Amino acid sequence: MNGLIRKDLYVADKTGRLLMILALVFSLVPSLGSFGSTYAMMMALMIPLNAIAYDEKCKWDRYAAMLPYKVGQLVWSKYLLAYLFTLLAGGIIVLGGVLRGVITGSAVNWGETLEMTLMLGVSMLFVTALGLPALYRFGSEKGRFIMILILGVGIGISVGLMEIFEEVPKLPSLPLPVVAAAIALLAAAATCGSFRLSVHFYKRRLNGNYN
Amino acid sequence: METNAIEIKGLSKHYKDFSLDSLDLTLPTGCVLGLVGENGAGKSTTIRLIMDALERDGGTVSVLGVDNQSKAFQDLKEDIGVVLDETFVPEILSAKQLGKIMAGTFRNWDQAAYDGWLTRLGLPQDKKFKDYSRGMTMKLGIAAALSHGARLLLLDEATGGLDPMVREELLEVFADFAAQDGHAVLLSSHIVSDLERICDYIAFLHKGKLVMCEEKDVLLERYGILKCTREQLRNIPEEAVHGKRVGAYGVEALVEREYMPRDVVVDRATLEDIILYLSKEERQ
Repeated sequence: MNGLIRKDLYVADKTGRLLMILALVFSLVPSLGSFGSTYAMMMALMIPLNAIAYDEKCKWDRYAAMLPYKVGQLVWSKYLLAYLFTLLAGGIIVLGGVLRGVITGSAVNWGETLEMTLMLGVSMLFVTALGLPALYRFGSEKGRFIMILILGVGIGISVGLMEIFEEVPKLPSLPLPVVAAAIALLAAAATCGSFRLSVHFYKRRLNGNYN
Repeated sequence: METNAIEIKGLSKHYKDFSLDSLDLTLPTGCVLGLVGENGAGKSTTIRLIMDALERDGGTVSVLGVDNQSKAFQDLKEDIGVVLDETFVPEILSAKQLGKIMAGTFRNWDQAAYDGWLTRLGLPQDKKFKDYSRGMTMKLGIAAALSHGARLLLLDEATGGLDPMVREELLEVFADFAAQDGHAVLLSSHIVSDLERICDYIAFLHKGKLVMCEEKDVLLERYGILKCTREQLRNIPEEAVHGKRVGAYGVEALVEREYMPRDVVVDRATLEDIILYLSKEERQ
């Protein structure tokens, strides 16, 4: 698995750095507000998408099938890559929030920044869970458009989640830990289902069923 | 130790426009098996099926004594070096980076051996693959395959695109590899002269069917080239002739020595002659 992640990081090298710089820029612009942070998080999703496109271009999957990796490992490495860059983007959003505070001379609202980053991160879990099977089923070209569609839905979910959290204090029957646990459980279930579906599509693709 | 590095029985794979049909093939350890056939004959499909990289429709495959659909085969892949007809590595990577990827892939990765192969094959460490020639790309695949302590090499058109000097050197490397205790090589190639030089066995695939699999020396002993007139050819037993080329001045035919009259002179056939005539016979 180590080798797979390393390969994707090498492939993502320049694009990854550029996207993360863009993510920082977007999270720095005060007028963009939460949109800037959302956009910054979206940058992270481009990394696994590009990695799969590169794999397709050079037919890496044919070579990888000869290496001592299980199909599940080959697929899971892309999920890990997505999570890695989501985490990185989350850190960048927080850093952007701090720097924005320093630049504008205003105090950093840690609660708001962390809450938004967490919500965006959780949304990305769902977007990854929905998007990666689509990429494995339809390939990076068609999958890219489906991913954009899913991103739109993802943004909707994150906005919705933020509003739910704003309402949470008014809903005594739904305390924050319960909501958080429910979302975490839902994300884990979505990831589990998504992974199984991705493995199924990957095997069929390797077998030439989608060519 | 296993007596056979590869044992294939009744292996089948069906596509819409191509079928690999009930293939039986055995590669004894210590030997080099040459897999020859035209484009689309099923050579690459066979190699992918050996590695269980494709779902098969029937048959069994045993590699180094392990069923290739068993759980143990996953670990056994550590002992198999594969070179495909293209390297299939992202073009923005360098040989140095590929080494690090492989170090994270194979438990027995030998970085010193890899560096040694890169030097020996004249491959720069930091040059990106996009700037490599096809020959360099193939050499890199070979360097990687030889650097993790493999016992079996599967080489799919691995000598294609290489200049004669490098091909010569690599054929020696493959022959030396096969000569080591418990090692074996399966080499698919269009370059029949390469196969003739190092192979102990030759398997000839045509449109997904195994036309023959024989010891190379037996083949060279069995077949010969007869040069004669059309009238003389009529006197040759039909079962002796395995394809002919009729020209303005006479006939050249691949014949089986066993059925030939003792007084007829038969020249030595090269492996290329045998393959070409047999494939012509199959097409007819």
